[in-house]
Order: sequence, then structure tokens, then C-alpha cells
Amino acid sequence: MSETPLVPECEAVQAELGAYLDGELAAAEQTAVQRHLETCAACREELALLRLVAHSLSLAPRPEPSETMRQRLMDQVVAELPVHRVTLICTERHGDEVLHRREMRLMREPARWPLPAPIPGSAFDHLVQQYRQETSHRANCYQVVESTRRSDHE
Amino acid sequence: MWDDLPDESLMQRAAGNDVHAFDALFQRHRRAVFSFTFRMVADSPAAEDLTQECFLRVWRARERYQPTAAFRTWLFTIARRLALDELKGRQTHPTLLAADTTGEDGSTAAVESVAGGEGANPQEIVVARELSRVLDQALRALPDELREAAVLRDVEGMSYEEIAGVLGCPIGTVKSRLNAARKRLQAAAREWLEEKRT
Repeated sequence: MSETPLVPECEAVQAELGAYLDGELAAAEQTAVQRHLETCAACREELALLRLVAHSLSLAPRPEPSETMRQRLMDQVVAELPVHRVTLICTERHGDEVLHRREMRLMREPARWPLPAPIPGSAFDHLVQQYRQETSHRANCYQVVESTRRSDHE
Repeated sequence: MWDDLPDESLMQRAAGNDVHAFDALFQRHRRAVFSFTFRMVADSPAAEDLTQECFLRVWRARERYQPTAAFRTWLFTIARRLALDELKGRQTHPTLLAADTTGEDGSTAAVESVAGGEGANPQEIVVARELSRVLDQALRALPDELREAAVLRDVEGMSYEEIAGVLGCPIGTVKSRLNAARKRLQAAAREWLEEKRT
């Protein structure tokens, strides 16, 4: 196709048509381009083509990644979760004597996505139970065991 | 539960090791990141790997993220860097894989559904579908720096300011790259329309 040279004004306007279409011009510039378009058929035609191109591109299919990719990603994310440092605080009464013990243990989250729904307070129950069993041989011992969690990197 | 929360809030939760918040962020942006990387590298398995790597980097950087920067800009900056590294590694230009964006029967269902939804007649749908294919090929033939600007604007709908943030260049550069990209796309469209008339 042979192209006729543009007059300078059209050349300047056509350099702004993209930004005009995108609404990225300042108000004064937007008005100036609009005024030119009212009187210039060549620039209106150019704008129509630009609009058609932009519209067609916006209709282009947007492919979606597979569900297996999500599983791979989230497995990796969960595997990289930091270990929880759980501090068990135990108060033991031996007659009149009171002993305070502190013990730090490490706990990992399940290594596979999806994680089970979190239930407040339940995460350390098994650690507390385990601690009670391990220390049950202590005679005349009344225990109060609490746990605190501090997430930390290994 | 997560729909009402902005990206930056989800990211702050993710920084506190909330995996569910991170998954919500992933679900929200996976399609855009995959679509962008796919259009950059023109290879579906490679685009999946890049998308996965992109989100993994976000996860690993969660504690360093500053909510002063828009999350989407930051996300696409990572995606773009990965895509350019992939292209550099290949030292080849992406091939024309227009069939990859179409269905198994060769139809572009997305084009039809959108065009149909706007009350287009069957002929207009055919024109939109055909032109969309032509432009998809023209887009893939663009140099990387023009293609990324055109995809971020015309496919992902980003503002010039956002694109400038992703590309790390002034808004004026975004504008000139978009102009250059669109000139070539318009030329492809014009040529196709003229062929259709004859």
C-alpha cells in the first residue's frame, strides 16, 4: 500500500492517538486531539484501526496454568515453611515444693498442600500429651503444662 | 474470605507464614502471570515453569516485601525478569505458536464468547477471531521490549505508570515503545484487512 505523507499536524496527533485511546493524555492534550479528530478523516480512520487492534488484542484468549502446577508450587511452599519452636512450660508441685520447667521442642507443619483447616489451640495438643506421658513417672507430681509457639527459621 | 482483601494485605499475611493467604494471591494472579510469560516465551510448559518460579520467589521474599510498592507491579517485575532470562538462555526468538492459544478444534472460544456477549453478529465474530489470530502472530514477532509493553497494556490492561514500574523505565519510554509496537500491529491488521477486501 502506498502511503501519502502526513501533514505535520496529523503526524503529531497520530503519535498521541495511542495515549488518547488509553486515556493517558492530560486533559488539555486530550481536548486538542479530540478537536483535530473532528475535522480530520485520515486521523479518525487511524484511530478506528488502532481501536480495532486494541479491541482484538483484548479479546485474545488468556490461557490458564494447570492445576498440577498449583499443587507443585504449594507443595514447595509448604515444604519451605519454617519449623515452629514450641516452648512447653510445666509447673510441678512436689508437696510444698514448686518446680518450673521449660522445654523447647521443634514442630513441623504437614509437608503437603492443602494444609488441614487450622483449629485454634489444637496444634500443640499432641506435644503436650507426649510431654505428660514422658514425665508421668515422676511421683507426687501435679503438672500444669502450657505451650507457647514462636515461628522461627531453622 | 480473601476476596475483599487487597493484595498488599494478603502479602502481609503471607509474610506471617499464612499459606492460605499466599494461595489466594496465587489464585488471583496466576492467570495474568501465566498469560504474560506465555506471550513472552511462546511455550506453554516453559511459561508454567516461569509462573511457578515467579510465585516461589514471591514466597521466598515475603518478609522483605514493602507494601509501599504495588504488589502487581512487583509480581510482574519478577515475571518479566524470569521471561527475559529464559529468552536470553535460549538465544532464539519465540516461534509462532498461534495454535497454542486456540482450543483443540482450532476455535478461539474466548474470542467468541466475548464478541458474542457484545451482540456481535456471526460475521463480526469471525472477523474478530481471525484478526485476533493475525495480531497474536504479529505480537509474537515483535522485539521483546516492544512485545512486553504491548502485552502489559493491551492484554493485561495495565496503566502506563504500572508498565513503567514493571519495565523500570520512564512513562515516556513506555509511550514510545507502545507507539512502535502498535504501528507494527496496525500494519499487520491493515494488510490483513486489505487482503480480505480483495
